[in-house]
Amino acid sequence: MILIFGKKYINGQKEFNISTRRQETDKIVLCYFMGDITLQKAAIEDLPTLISIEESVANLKIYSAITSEDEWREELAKSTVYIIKKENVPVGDISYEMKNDSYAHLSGFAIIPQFQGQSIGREALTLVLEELKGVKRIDLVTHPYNTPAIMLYLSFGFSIESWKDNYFGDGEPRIVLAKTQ
Amino acid sequence: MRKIFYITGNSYKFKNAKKYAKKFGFDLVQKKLNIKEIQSGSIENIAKEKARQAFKILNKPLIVSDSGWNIPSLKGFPGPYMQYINQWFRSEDFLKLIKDKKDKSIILEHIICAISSKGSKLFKQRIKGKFINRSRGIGLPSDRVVLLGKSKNTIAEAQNKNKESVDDTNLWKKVYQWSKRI
Repeated sequence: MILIFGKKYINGQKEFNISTRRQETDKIVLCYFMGDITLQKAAIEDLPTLISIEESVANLKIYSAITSEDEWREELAKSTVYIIKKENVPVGDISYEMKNDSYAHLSGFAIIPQFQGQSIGREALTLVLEELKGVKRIDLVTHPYNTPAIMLYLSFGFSIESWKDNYFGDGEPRIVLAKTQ
Repeated sequence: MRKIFYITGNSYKFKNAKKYAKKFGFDLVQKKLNIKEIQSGSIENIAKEKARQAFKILNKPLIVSDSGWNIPSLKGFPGPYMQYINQWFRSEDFLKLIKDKKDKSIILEHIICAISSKGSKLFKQRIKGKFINRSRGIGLPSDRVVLLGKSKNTIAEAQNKNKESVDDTNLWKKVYQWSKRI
């Protein structure tokens, strides 16, 4: 990989780089990185990786996983999807959909269970929120019993908006959280 | 007088429990221990495990207590996770979650686990309460928006006025009666 350009940002105590990298294949891939965490923009050829990440959390009732190719094609068409990598190993995914210029919906966020509890989600979310700087409203839904996720979002300035019963049609409720800036 | 330890960092809870101890011949002693709380969807399991861990450290008769909240219209949320939720939620957050719900009730599940070398026992109390529409008093976010039983004070207001927010006399009596027998 060759670093084309890089820019340093300071976010609280942490310093991270936002860069565009060119892979050896000459394909341009947008990457964000923070320490050893990288966000790599996903494309159709990444479907097996995305499915494998989501399958690792698919049996949890607190997360509505995307495990079919068709659903992922749809998600990739309407949303910006990143594969979260730690030391170049895929450990999660995060995606958002721009509803309009001033409104983004965080549509997916999963970390493979064995990599949870290592602040990977926090770093990935920091990078995505940095990218969405200036967007007036960012919202998301999460399961009420996904306590670590709720705490993470609240610590980033999201606030509770409402409770939705059977949000995804799986019988499980979700909490709507939003961050306005 | 038999010594029994109450493992809690909460002086208000301790003071309340101590009130009944003497009548049953117990000298209740407050003890703070650093016990790692297990992750469980059951308050009973959390209390049992807490008692087991504390007994392993102290090896003396002791009591632990735990409580959870059950909001029926929110499918039992937050259950045993209230203490985590209270670290991040504001009172207004609870009100936002139930704003569209007709049923504004909440149930406090209070669990006490007594343990000694001869065994352990769980004691439970369920107290019905309801949400009000604005926060009152100084205290935990959830305590500022809930009235328990027939009280006109929120839990926070009752604590601010040094009044009992929960009548748990019978629960403690049962705990001491059982502890006396073993």
